Amino acid sequence: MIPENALVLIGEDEPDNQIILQTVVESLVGVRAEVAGDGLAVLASVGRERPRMILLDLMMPGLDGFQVTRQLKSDPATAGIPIVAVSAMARPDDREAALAAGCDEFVRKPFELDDLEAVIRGYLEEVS
Amino acid sequence: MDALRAVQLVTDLAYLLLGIAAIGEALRSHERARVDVAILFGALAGTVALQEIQLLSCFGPAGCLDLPWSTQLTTVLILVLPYALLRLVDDIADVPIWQMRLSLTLLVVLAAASVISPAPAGAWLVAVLTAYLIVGTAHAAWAFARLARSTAGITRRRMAAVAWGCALLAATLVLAVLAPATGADEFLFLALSRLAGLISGLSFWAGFFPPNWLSQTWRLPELLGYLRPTRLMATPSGQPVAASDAMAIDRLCVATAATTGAQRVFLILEDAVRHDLYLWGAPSARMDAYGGSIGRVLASNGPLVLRDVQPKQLPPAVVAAFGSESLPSTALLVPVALDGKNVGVLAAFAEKGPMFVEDDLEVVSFFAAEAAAILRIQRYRESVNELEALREADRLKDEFMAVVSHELRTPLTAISGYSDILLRKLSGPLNERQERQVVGVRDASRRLLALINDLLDVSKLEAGTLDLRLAALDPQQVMARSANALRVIASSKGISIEERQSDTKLPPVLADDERLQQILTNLLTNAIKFTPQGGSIWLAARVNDGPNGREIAFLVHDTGIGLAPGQVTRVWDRFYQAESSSTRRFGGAGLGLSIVRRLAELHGGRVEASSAGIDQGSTFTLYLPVAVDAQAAALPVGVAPPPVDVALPGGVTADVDSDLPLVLVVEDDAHIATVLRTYLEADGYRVEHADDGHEALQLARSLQPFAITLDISLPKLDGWSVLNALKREPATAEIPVVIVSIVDNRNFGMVLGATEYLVKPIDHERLRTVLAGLDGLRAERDGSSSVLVVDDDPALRDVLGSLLSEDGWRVTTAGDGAAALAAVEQEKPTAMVLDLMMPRVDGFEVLQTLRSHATTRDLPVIVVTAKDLTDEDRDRLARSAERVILKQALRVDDLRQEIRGLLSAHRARGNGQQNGGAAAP
Repeated sequence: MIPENALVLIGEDEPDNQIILQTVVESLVGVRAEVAGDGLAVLASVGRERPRMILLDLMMPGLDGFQVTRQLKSDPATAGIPIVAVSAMARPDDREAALAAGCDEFVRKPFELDDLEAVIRGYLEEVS
Repeated sequence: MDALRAVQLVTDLAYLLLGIAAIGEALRSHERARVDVAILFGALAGTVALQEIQLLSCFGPAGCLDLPWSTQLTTVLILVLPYALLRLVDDIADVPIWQMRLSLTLLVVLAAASVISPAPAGAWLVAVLTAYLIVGTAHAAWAFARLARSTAGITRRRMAAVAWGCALLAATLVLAVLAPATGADEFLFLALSRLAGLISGLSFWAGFFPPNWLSQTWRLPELLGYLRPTRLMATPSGQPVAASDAMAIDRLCVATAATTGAQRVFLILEDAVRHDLYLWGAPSARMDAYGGSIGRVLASNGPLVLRDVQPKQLPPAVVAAFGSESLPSTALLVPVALDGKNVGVLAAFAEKGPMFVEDDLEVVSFFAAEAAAILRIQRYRESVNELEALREADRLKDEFMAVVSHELRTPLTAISGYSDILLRKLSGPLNERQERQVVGVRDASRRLLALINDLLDVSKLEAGTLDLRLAALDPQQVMARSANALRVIASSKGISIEERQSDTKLPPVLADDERLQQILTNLLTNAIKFTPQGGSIWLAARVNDGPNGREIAFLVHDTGIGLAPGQVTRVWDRFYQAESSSTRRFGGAGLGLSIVRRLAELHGGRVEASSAGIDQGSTFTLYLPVAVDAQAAALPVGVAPPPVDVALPGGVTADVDSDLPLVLVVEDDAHIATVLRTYLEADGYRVEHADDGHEALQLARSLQPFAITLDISLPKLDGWSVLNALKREPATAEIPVVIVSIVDNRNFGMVLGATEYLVKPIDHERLRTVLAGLDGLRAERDGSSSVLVVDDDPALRDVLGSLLSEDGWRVTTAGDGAAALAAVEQEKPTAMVLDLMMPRVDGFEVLQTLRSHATTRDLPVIVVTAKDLTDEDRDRLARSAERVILKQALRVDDLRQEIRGLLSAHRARGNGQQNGGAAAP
């Protein structure tokens, strides 16, 4: 079962994609979503409230998704938070690079809402 | 007198032989110079013959023969000598016409006088005759000596020999004339005269008819002068390659000139593209290709000697190169042949006696072959460069495609996301019409996405950057997955997809799972696209005996529009559509099948299309090789890390040394490998060694070394390929590679992804520094090393912390001295960054505490402070801190460098003590 107050953190700089990701989390999965517009905001948000998982764009201004992932995964306090990279980088290498940086899963943009919903549910149920 | 007579006999015999040789040569070639030589030596031989006949006849039964007119004939023959010599000089270099005339007049007058005057000739006539002879031969000696000095190489030596011959001939005459007048010393003078005569004869022989061994010897010094540095020098370092080619050709031309004594030597090359000729070094000086003497040489296969060269016989560019100098009389033109085809002409221009040309022709031919060798190397290099440039262009295109794809995907995500949201009614209800329209938006975005994916694939296939992860796959399973993925779409068009099971169990196929799916999906999509409503598709797999062994055939059959016979092969071409109108009917860019074909080929497989005809349906077949066990084992690209990989970093092995970082030395020279091993082990590394490229790749995968030193010239697989393979494979891409090679091509190495480039001979200090630098990188990668940042200013703590963690260090922080000491206890950091001014326990106290405990005594500490340090402070810090950096002067790179350096120094120390120091578990 997915706890109702679970928080999914969205790290995404594109406003449209923010809305879409937020809709998937809130309307399809039915849990809380918080949106962070860049890497630093993601870190700040994690510091404020520990999310159950993070949907993370990889190409962001300032601190990018790779850096954020490495940072979070290197800190024992945050290493346990699942990170799903949601990226428009489409090459197999990109996927590998994301996983190497510590992402738990890689979802390529554009995605089917159903697919992403399933991925999110998988992680939320896993931790509960 | 017997000794004298013996010398005389030998001398006379030598002159006789010279005469016979000269006349023989002249009869063979009829050249003016040869005729002149024949006149000279014929006359000499005639005189000695007459003399010997008279002398030898005394031994005969009839007693001494007294030939009528023999004295007069001898005199006339001797008188011919100076004139003949002058003619020879004239053949080689012009002699003023008055000299020739004077000499001829004297010859005629004196000959007439000696014939007319009764024997024995009057003393005055003998005196005049002798004077004329001596002056004539001496003049010839001087003229030849001058000619020798103006030329070079073998010609110079031959001319010098002739000059000596003339001089000694003059000496012979002088001595012989003086002998009777010297009384008691007559014997000595006569002996000297005969000796001079003999040497003179030998000199003439050496000069005019040198035997092969002598020619070779004379040619050698210049050839060695050219060859030695060429063979030893290789490419001078620091010179651009093209410049060194130009240098090589320039040297070659200079050497040709030096060896032959030519004034100018040109390399004239054919431009295959423009169909004309150009001068080496002056590509703008174009020449008409196929006319003139140069063209003749190019068209023929042999060298050509031009005498009395006229400007009109030569291309204007060549004539212009002489400027105001007069054109030399002789041109030696030798074709330069590359791979059996003449690509140019080596042309040497010289003032040459015809006698001397043959030697030079051989020399010029030798240099023409050398020029061909240089050109071959240059061509090879150009082709390699071209290939590199093409690869680079492909890589850039691939990169560009990746960026474009990313930029296209981002808005596409919004389009498809929003339309999905709308269709899922997450933003409220839609009426039927709105829903239809949004479905249109979503489908359009999907088509666009498919196109982007195809373009990306095409670009990768072209750039050769698409790597396969080959594995042994079950054909039936792969087929089922593809069919299932498309069944929904097919059924929406009323088309059924049927999988036909094979009767027997199929052997596994060797393929990249994802790509094989893609191929089958493309084929199925294609079938669905061209099959009308209510049609059917079946797919099957079976074993087939192909040209390269057993293979699996995947068949996709449809009941669609079919193919005309002419389309069966063309359908695989890129952008090909069965008919232009079909573009409108069926859509698509015509990329799908071309991708299928290229992917199949990349797998070592092939594709085939067949159809009974238009509207008779069609069958597309994909053939892929069967995965044999051996093949699967020898896969070039590791699919998954072998189990041993998992065991190693876990530290299961009990070996003490395994704590030391491992360096893989790739080097085929056993001696150099030993040197590297010695250096590296002294610096505290473990060393494994690979002899060739393949072994290097294998060991890199299985051992996962901390770093690799890589030689470039390796057997089997060269260093560039090894580097490329290492960097392409995710399992080894992160391992830093330091190239240690005699090949100095730093840029290329760095572009391919080398971390550092060291040129042999190996500099131990450099190697140590480079690897110490990598040590920091290693810590970043394995994450076992942590840095404790101690500062009471949270902002600075964050900055330092995030910088260091960005660098890959695990960072812990502490806000004051007490917390710092607690953190040291708990975290056992590898290094510490410490502020001095802190509340409660300050930095000095922290240092003091650390240094007084055995476990923390060696912890490297970098003090970062804003405090104005007193001398006393400095003193205390010098003893207890590794480094002090003032905050005002803090630079991120310095800090990183410091920490890396400290860590490796620290490790080297701890390594010596074998107690591991502060190395974190």
